[in-house]
Amino acid sequence: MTERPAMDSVLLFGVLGLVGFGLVMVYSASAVYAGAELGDPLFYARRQLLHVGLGLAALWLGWRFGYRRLVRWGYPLLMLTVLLLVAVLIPGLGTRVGGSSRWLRLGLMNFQPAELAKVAFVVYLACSLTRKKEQIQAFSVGFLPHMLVSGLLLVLLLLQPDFGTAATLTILLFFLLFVAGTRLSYLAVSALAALPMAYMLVTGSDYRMRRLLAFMDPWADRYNVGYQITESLMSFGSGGVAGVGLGEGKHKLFFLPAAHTDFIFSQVGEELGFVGATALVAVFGVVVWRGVRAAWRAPDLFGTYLAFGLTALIGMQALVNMGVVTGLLPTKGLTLPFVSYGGSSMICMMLAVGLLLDISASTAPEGAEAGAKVTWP
Amino acid sequence: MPDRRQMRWMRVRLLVVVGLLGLATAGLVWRFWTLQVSQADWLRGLAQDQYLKEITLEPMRGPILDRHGAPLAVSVMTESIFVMPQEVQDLPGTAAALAKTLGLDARALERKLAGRRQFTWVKRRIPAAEAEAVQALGLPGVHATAESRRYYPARELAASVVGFAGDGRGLEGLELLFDGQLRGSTVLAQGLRDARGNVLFAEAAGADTASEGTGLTLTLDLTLQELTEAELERAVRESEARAGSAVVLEPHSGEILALANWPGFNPNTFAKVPRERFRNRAVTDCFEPGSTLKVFSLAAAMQANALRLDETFDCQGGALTIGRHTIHDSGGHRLRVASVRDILVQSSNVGMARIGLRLGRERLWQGLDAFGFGRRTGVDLPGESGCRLRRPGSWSEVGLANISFGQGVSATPLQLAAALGAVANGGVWLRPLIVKEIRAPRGRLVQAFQPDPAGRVLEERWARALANMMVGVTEPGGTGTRAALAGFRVAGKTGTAQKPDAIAGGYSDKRVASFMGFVPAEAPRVAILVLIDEPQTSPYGGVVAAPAFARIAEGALAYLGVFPAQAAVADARPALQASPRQDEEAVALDEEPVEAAPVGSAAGRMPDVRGLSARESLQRLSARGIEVALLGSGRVARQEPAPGTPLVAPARVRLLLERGADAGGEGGGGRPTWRLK
Repeated sequence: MTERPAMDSVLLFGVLGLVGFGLVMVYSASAVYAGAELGDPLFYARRQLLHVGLGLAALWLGWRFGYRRLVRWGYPLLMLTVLLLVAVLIPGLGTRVGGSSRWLRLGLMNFQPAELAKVAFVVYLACSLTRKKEQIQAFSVGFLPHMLVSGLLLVLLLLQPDFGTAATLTILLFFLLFVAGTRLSYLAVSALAALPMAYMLVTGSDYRMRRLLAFMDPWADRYNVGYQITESLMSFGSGGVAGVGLGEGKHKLFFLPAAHTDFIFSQVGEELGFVGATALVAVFGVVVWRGVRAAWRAPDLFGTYLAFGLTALIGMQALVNMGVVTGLLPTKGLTLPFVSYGGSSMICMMLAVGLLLDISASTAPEGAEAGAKVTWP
Repeated sequence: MPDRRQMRWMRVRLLVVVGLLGLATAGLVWRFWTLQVSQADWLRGLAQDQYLKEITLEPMRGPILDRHGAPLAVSVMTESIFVMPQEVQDLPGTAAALAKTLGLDARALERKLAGRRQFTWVKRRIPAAEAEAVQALGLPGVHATAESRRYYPARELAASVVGFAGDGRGLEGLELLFDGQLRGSTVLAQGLRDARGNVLFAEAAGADTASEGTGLTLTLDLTLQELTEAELERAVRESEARAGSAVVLEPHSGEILALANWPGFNPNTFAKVPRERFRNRAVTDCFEPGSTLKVFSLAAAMQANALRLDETFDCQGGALTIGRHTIHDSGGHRLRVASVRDILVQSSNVGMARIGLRLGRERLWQGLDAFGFGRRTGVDLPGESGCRLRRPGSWSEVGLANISFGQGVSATPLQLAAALGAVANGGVWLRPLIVKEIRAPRGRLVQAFQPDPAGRVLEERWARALANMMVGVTEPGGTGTRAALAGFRVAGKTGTAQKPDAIAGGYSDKRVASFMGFVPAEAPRVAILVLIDEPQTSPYGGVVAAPAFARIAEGALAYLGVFPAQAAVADARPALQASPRQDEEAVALDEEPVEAAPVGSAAGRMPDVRGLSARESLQRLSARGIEVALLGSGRVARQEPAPGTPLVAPARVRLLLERGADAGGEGGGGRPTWRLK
């Protein structure tokens, strides 16, 4: 083995840039609220700093642990995730916040198993798809098991309920299966089959129905179900081209619920405008590009699948979050990776980045690439 | 290792997914553009609607002061209680507690609050003590806010001039006419509001400048006003008249020193006063002047060089027949051949008619028009009438004769006073001034009103000659001997007019008695008009109005430091002591209960405000629910009842202000202290 290649500094600094920016935005968005509610304007900023510290540790862990060793961990990790997702549903273990039990109390901070589930799901899929590479096109081997495992996770997530994570996992599943080469017909049929299920889920839950209605016409019931999204739109739109200036946003003054968590991008839009929002998208774009590059150059199929899955996770979640904030998607309850306030999300996403860095550093030996006609990027 | 072909296809599929993400990203950025560029203004407007609260900073209304700075209208901060019904938890309980504390009807209050969702006033402009009691209840949804309240410390004094303001708007008098200036500019502050409705801070800078509107300094002198009103009231009461008006002018500047109407009203309680009392009758109501007009007809003839002063006219024993009409002298005069002076002194209608007939329609009209008849004077008071002086083309022969002695023409008391002023000052008609200065909050002069000579209407020699003839009126043998003053030559003219009968036409048996004059005749300091409407005891101006004139003139001269030229005259003071204000009891503390302060709020003892300025003491006392009457200007010299006296609700105090030595400046001992003895 030759000397290990250096870390992908573009990816690393892209992510660190997002994390640092997130700290500033969390402080900006939460200071007034924290000051009024907790008497300490720095409360959330300080906790987010702790999250960043833990996240950096997770990143280091992912990098040092190495993705190769993870091949053996795919199923145990999946089991652990399932256990945690079950635990969170048990009253006493799980903490109910706002009608859903998503958190496990872990002394210093609350942990959200759903965040871990995303990473674990990707690891599991990468493992499984690598193992079944030859029979991937076979229905019973390459398709059905993944569907069943995903179904279990989705059911557990919907019991919380956490529709956002469930939707994210579903999309990831489809992406990975598609890339791995599952027959398109299976994907298409299952997608068609999923539609009535999704419909039943939405119409079967009053709160999801209202969210959907609010999404379809947020201004119709601006002060009730449409409140959060219309506030978000007003906040985002108020920024204009250049924004009102960092820290000058007005919607964090109790108008916009979850201004420092799920809707922090709304604050970015208000304070930094079109320029700032687009720049943030560009930085995510860079992160995704470096992740896809790692998948492209990965020395083995597992590395490719894992890198692609983790990158898709980061990219999808960023897209969905921004889509929700700007009213393109119904409200989900997904964080903006690296930027939103939240420990679980930060730790899991940073772990993913650590793994990506490792994959990217483990590029195939020069010769292995020679045969590939496509050289990209 | 997977084979190459598979690898390649996988990479193609991977690129497809990346491409999808890229498309989604492009869509997202397009969405940013839509929200932040295309719809930005709309969304920003919606956003600002909710977090920017426009706070109207209503400045404190500017004060109205007399010429020496004594307050006629001031604003003091008071507390007002309002309720935000949606914050109220226990409506009946809240209503009951509020009603008890504020002395309101609990049921009515509950009904009122139940019907409202938004901000609702409960009780406004209450004493601070009462507001504190409400605050102490600690009821959710019940709030207090500072609001300024208009206060008229001089009460009835000059009320018809000052008028009054209600709910921050001028409604009558100068308060109405100068509403814009007094109110000041309302500053629309952009207050930042959070979702909980807290106003975080006001972004506007102007809070400072908007704190108070501009103030008016009037030409009125509160001391003379007080004297004039007292004498007018006395004259009206003694003659059992319906009403009366009086004007005191400074003839060389046109400044109105006093303008009184009786009956008056207390602007602090204007809501309880019948509307017709608000009228400033001295400028809004037209009267036929009668004989006082003879002065101006004569002036017209002099100015037109239509007569020589040593001429005589045949007064035909007091009757002159023109066509089917016969003009009579009143009072049974049997003048035969009379000098011009006799015609004026004895007020011969026949003599005056002959002069008028000689002068002719056009020239008489020109003369009267020059003296301002038939036109508004342009004084800065609302609702002024120009009254009636018809065009000469429509005058009949007898009409011409009648007008020359004051019938068939009408004028407001102020028009008459202004015309009199022109004779007194040597022949220049001046627009009467009521506002002297407009001053910005910290004393910066915004506008000063200068005497406004409309031009000479009478040659000075004629004015002098006319003044000399008018002196005869108050000398033995004249019609206005009761207007005479010891030690001064008083130029005057009586007037006794029949009131036209508006319904039946012609003239009724009601009279308007008036006296106008100026002193000292050779160098007039004041020109005074007293008009008594429908006196019962006697119809004659010389009887009813002249004594009031004399007392006002005497007091005014002493006050202005004008002493008799002849050393022989004993002492000006006795006359002053006769000034009724002094021995009459507390003028400003009379009858009508004002805003009955609830018992308890005024509990305690009378605070000591001696040495404080009018405003400071007003603020301190009204905050305790004590009603204040101010007299004079400067600092509080004395208070009645004395400090420390136990307060009995409704509590009232009368403050006597003096311009002490420490106050300094301004004319030295210009303001006598005799009133305060």
